[in-house]
Amino acid sequence: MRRIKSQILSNKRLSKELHLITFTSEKIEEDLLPGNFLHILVSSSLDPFLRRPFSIFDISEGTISVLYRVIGKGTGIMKDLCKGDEIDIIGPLGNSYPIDNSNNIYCIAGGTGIASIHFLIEYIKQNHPTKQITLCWGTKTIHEFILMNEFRLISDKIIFSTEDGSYGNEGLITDFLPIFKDNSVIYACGPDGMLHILKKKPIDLPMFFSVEKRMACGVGVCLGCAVKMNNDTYKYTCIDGPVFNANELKYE
Amino acid sequence: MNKLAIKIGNLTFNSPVIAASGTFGFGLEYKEILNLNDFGAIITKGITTKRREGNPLPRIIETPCGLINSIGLANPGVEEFIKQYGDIYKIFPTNVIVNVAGDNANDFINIIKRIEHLNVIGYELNLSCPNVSDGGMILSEDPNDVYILIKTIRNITNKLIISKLTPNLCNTTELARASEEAGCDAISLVNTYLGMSIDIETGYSRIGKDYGGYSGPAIKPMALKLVYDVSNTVDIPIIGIGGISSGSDAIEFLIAGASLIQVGSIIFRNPQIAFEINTFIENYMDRKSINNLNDIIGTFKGSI
Repeated sequence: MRRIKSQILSNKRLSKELHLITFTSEKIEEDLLPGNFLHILVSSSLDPFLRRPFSIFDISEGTISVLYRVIGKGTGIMKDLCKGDEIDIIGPLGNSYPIDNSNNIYCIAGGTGIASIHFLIEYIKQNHPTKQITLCWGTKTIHEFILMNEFRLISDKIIFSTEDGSYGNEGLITDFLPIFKDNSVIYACGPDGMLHILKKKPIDLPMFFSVEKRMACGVGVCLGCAVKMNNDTYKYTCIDGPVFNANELKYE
Repeated sequence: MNKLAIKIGNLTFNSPVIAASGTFGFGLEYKEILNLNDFGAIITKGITTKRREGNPLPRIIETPCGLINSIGLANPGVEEFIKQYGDIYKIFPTNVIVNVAGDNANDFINIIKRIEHLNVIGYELNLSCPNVSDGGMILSEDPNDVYILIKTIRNITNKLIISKLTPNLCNTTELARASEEAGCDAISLVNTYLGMSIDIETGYSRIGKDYGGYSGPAIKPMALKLVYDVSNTVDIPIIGIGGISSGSDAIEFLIAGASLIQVGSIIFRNPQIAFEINTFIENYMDRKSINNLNDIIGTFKGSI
């Protein structure tokens, strides 16, 4: 974990709500693993008061990219940041997707969950090039399929769905999952609703969810980002997660 | 001579800045990105006799210039605390104070007896957790109860006893006086204000309980007023808490009468805040030709 002052290199709008921001990383990217997150302070103003946790979309030497949806005060400020502006970053934080010996990787992404899935697929392609990657990607509408050509390059197969039917299958991505092969592992990142549906499915494969929770500290001191475990105890997204074995999690 | 040093009794704090309970874990979580000895002391998360899982989700919601929390004293319980941290505190770069919480006087006494052998300088009694029905809040409403509780604890320890008070009652000064009369060494205030946040679409609370503890820069003026009031009531040192987010905020509390200050929510945003406050106070003292921190404390001049 380090804290750095980072310079914005670019901040592009990719769709109506999705933006991709790239900034200098002071070598933090060397320690980043898929699933890890950064805790970013976007403004020197006391309102918004807290940092915002973001998963990693992409890294390259000396830079990190984060995909974000403009939903509130923090991301509203973030979208107006320009090249040369400074942000304050703490990271890497959190755990990472466990990579096992499975030959077949199924990545299930909903909405901005595609961010950490992108970094994961890139990482697997680079470090385990023989693994076969199937991406199941669901969004609300066609415009949220950003950087499609890049995803087509790094995935072996992609299944698309949109809630409004504007592209791919119409409905939730959880309704269009492929028949899973043996010797596979599933990684999923997306809204709680999507993860909940996945958890209820009779899938007999190792399955890991990256969860998103509101966070204050990001390092395990405030205990705000609790997630409920099957045995009714709590774990914390920032230090025990954000990646959890789906078996552990309780959805009510 | 460290200009920022301040004493309570025979205990020295190298800085007047203390990490507030619940915002600094057990002291190690941030160690990779800050110097622990920038803090005069750190105060642990509140410890109870038994493990507590904490409150239902969600537990935090950001509000303008602050946040509302409903954590519910989640902690591993005293035995696990001793196991995990007893040895770590034997060599720790700064003073450690344990925040103790309980349902009744026996809980406080049992916990303190169990941890009395640890290398910690004292105890902050959580008489004011807003988020649990049994978090000392009931004990803390009546000055007589507070007096009896602290008197009993005074009989079992010579370590520092700090009474942490709520701003949510109208008798804070009486509670402070009762604490002092019972032999308390210092008063820390304020704990969080009670606050609410409602989702207007659903009508439900935006945290897991109807209300929670409100903290951050938004509460600073109210906290400052209460610190000022209490410092005019008791002679024991006050540890000022409430929205302190800069060196200038810290000095305001010192001028209002606090001898030390705690930083809480701001740590989430700026973990290196203690270093920044220390630097600011040193520069301020140089600029004002002040050599001793005590020459700032309680120097409020009123209105012109």
